[in-house]
Amino acid sequence: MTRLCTALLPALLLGACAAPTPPVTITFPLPGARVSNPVQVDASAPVTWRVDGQPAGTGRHWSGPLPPGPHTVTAQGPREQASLTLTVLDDAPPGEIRTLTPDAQGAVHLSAGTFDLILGNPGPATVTTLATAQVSARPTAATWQAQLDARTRALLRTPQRPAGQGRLTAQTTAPLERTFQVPNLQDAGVTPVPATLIYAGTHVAAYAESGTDLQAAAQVARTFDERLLPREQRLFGQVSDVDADGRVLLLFTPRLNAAQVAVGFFNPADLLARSADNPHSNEAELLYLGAPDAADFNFTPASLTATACHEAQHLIHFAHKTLPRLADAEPPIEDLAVSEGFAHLAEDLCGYGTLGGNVAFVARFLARGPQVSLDGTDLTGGADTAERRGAMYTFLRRQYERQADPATWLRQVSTSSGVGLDNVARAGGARVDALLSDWWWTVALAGRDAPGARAYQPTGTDPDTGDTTGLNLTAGVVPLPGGLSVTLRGYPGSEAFPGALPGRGFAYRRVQGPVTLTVPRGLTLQVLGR
Amino acid sequence: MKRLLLILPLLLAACTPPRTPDPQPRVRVTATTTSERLDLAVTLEGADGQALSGALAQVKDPGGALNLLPYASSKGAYVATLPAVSGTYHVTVDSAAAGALSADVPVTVLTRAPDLQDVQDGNGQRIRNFERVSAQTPIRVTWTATPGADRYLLEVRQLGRLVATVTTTDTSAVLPAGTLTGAALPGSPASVTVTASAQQGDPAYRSARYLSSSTLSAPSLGFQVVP
Repeated sequence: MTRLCTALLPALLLGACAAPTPPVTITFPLPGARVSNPVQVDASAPVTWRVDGQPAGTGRHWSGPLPPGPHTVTAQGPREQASLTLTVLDDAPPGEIRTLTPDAQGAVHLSAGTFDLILGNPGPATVTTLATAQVSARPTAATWQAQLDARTRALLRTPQRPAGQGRLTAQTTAPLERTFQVPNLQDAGVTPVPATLIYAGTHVAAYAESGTDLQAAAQVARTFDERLLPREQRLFGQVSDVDADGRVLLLFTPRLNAAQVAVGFFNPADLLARSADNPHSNEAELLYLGAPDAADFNFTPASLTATACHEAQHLIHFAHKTLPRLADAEPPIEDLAVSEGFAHLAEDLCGYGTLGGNVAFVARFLARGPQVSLDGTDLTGGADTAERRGAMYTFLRRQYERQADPATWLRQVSTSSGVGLDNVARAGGARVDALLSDWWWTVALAGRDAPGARAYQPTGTDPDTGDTTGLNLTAGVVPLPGGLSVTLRGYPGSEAFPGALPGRGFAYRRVQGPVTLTVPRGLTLQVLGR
Repeated sequence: MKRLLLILPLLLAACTPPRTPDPQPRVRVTATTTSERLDLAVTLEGADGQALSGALAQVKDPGGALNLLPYASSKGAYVATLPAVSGTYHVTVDSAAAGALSADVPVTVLTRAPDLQDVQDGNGQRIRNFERVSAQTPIRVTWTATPGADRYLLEVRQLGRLVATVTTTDTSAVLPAGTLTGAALPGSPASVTVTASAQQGDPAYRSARYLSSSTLSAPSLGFQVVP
């Protein structure tokens, strides 16, 4: 052929020598594919499309909705044609959750029937879909924990090292008196606080400032030492021991009761060596707690015990994720929302889900529903809010229940160098958007006849505390210590979708088809056929 | 032989090189917009082909704001980074050697990044339904159109490597079977990124004295690939 063309070089014959046009093929999908609407088909060259024998346009691509069932798509080229048979799946089959793909105008169409819908925001930032939406651009005042988080991040911008480096001898005897440098809760200052040893156990030593109910505080320390800290370490990993004393220190101080901004806290700076940047480090594993007060729900012995579990989780997380990586250019620090979520999960796993107040955080989350962000700023500008903590706790509780080996997953999250939701998902071998979808539906369908897998595990009773373990989002009225109560009635349904959704937030509604809905850009619409 | 002599003058005439105009100073403008910033580079070429560095170079943005363009010897051009605004930028350079020259440069700022919609395999598995796609089938990637864009660059990465790039004017692309590598559950992670672009002018600076290009990328979309 090549020799013939060379011989017949004259230009008029060149056209006859061009490579023959390859036959038209359908490049996507494969024959027999089972596809969702809108159906998308591609050919190797521009063709005339026919669907079930009916003209359907021209071009290299064809896309459009087709009724459920088998269909034959034909691509007619200049001289030949290709065809395939595919099966179109029901857009919203009963009992299955699907993500609806909008058409070029952003619309989705649902046929006759009853559908549960979730409009979700898979991204971290608020998406506003209506100009009239009420979204505050002004952040609210940072919580105490957020302030501590900001200080820690600022401190780690300069090189730090763990406290206790070079210490050769273990200090197994706790001094009877000790002065702690306690961060002020009203300003950035620090106050030296003398305290007395009130308890020294295997894993815990406790000190109290004057004015503390010593007997009640010692009982909190004993419970934490003998039952809860060992349990927590089996789940989350061992605490560090920068001061080589083999113990976590608890400091009970009425200053927290007076300030009413936190029941307790952990200050990561205490695990770092004293330096010009960090002159007030206590150089110890230290958890700050309020003084026991049976008359104040926040400071009951049960609440303080739960708070010790909460703060110990912060300590363990920092000790595993950040402390070993202080020499990195940017040591990882867990996102505040995820960190607080795990701390509330720790309260639950210690057996204090109700007594410790988790249930109250969950009630706040359910009450405000679509206004709450999972890990960002909510629609009122709040960040580290009770609502967000409730949301993140429900999210992480769901992830915990889904793991084949929950303890391995928990340790993978805390020991890895990653942070945030991506790291939570990666530790479980999943994608964030898949976890979000699962969580949205599990929360929204509580009490609404959920498909089997979309539900929290049944609640139980902790053998040590007698408290409820796990989550029941439709538990109704839940009594709390001190004669208080909260009400859990599930996630609120909406008559219409809201004009704005905060990061990772979602809205739920039930509709009757046929109906056409618009999917705002940046959001995802998922459907459960009933 | 006689016939040959008649044809020869014609062939000789055809071989005469075209007359080139006398060399003139000229200006070339490169405008590159990414996100909200516009990078301008103005090259002033003297009649002898050398870059002229002593000119007064200015640009007036579509809103009428005037900016001076300092000469950057490392680039051989007058450069500035400015806020990007859609419209025409009026560039002027004035020098003793080349006189006053100007160029009007249209700039299109892409404001809406393409939104990656889905990755679907040839069997119908879709990542939007949190399914894994099969490496052994063609894989179709779809995204939304970016107003003003005239082409898209699709980049496919797996295990830290760029495994495919596709340039298209469409809002979808089909990757041939075998482009990605699958692994047993939970699968091998892969990701796609789309960059929308718009280009005006002439890369050779012949039909126009400028080349104006804008790009805007979508956040990448990750998924899992099974065999």
